[in-house]
Amino acid sequence: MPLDRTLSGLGLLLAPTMRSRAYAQMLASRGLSPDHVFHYPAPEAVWTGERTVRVPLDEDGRFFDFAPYETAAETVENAGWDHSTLPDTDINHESVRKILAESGLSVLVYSGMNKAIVSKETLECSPKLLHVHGGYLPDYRAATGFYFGLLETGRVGVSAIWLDQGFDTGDLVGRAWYPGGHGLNVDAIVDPVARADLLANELESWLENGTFPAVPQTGVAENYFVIHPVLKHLALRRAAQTI
Amino acid sequence: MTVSYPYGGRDLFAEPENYEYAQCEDVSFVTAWRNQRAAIVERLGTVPGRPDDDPVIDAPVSGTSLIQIMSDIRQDCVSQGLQADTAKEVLDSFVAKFEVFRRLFTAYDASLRKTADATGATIAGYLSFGFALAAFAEQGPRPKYLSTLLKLTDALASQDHTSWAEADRQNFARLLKREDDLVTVWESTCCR
Repeated sequence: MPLDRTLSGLGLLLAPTMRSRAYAQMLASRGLSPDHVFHYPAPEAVWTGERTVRVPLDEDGRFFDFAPYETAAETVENAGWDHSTLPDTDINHESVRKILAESGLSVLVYSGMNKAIVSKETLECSPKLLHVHGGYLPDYRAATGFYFGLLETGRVGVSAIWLDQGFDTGDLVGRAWYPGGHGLNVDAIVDPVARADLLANELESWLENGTFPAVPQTGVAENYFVIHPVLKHLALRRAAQTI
Repeated sequence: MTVSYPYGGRDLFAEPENYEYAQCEDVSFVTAWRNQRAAIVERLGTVPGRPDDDPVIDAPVSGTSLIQIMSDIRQDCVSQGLQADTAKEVLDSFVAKFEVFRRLFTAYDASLRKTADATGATIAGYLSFGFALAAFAEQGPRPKYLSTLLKLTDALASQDHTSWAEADRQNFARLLKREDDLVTVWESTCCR
């Protein structure tokens, strides 16, 4: 049983996604307890695959046993974390903004609804939003940037950033490359777990150092659009060849 | 069982495809894509002459024609009068336009906005965009441009080619050959 380490002033915002499931399970497994968890009022998808999937986290044998069938709400409940459900699925809705503004949290880990864009007004009134992007920044910006990284390197890149008004342009907290997953489901398993591992690593660093990094993105930035399925197929073939 | 390529059943300019959550894990997906392209090349006929003939550059009423802009990009140049520093910057702007709206226009102003009198791009215009994408994709590992090229050729493949000018038919066949060569390079990297 891991030690309980409370993340004072830090909350989680969890949409009903595989990413949120991975975040909750990863933090719980490491004994990292947020001050509060906000859930979105939206239905969960039912996972019909294997109950537990062993996901490689590096080439040295580190792994995470992910239970994709377990919802984030179930993990949060089992961990005994303080939690509540937001009144709307839109983070920019006035009622949600008010709750976030009055939460007393200084940092909110953001795992939002797909394709949601956080407005300027919400950014200004809410706690600082910490987001883990699927893609190594600034090289691979936008939603399927990680597929292009996978195609070019055989690995999954992820980056923790502070959300700002741009698309994946916020200051970097940390970034890392992960194994391609050796044929595991990239969308539902490999990418969410890679993001969760980087998040947990950064939260542990914060507990140790007392501060989060905020490094401006430098270097050549590329914006990517949805990858064509022929290239997605080849990216998955490449990932299947790496651990 | 023969699998058909899922993006060939409708006019993709009229009903754009967003390609999200594509089910493409099985090897049969790429086989189906390649079969669709091969069938089109066969219908288009043989491809004599030198590759990638420049289409006739039309003179727009105002601004710079799409074909001129793309022709200059292929020479790694920025067309005179455009507010951009590099050919890549110009091409990236058109990649974004095509990815978001799935349509281009015959002429653009200095800020790369369509001119007031511009109309929808011609087949020759889209082909010139395709050759610019291919040229950039061939310069190194630049899958971003190949990804957009594949979407463009999907859309061009979904048209009635019998009504096209002969030069457009031949240029499309050449473009499909270059697309296939580019995909083959990635296959050799990803499918060892």
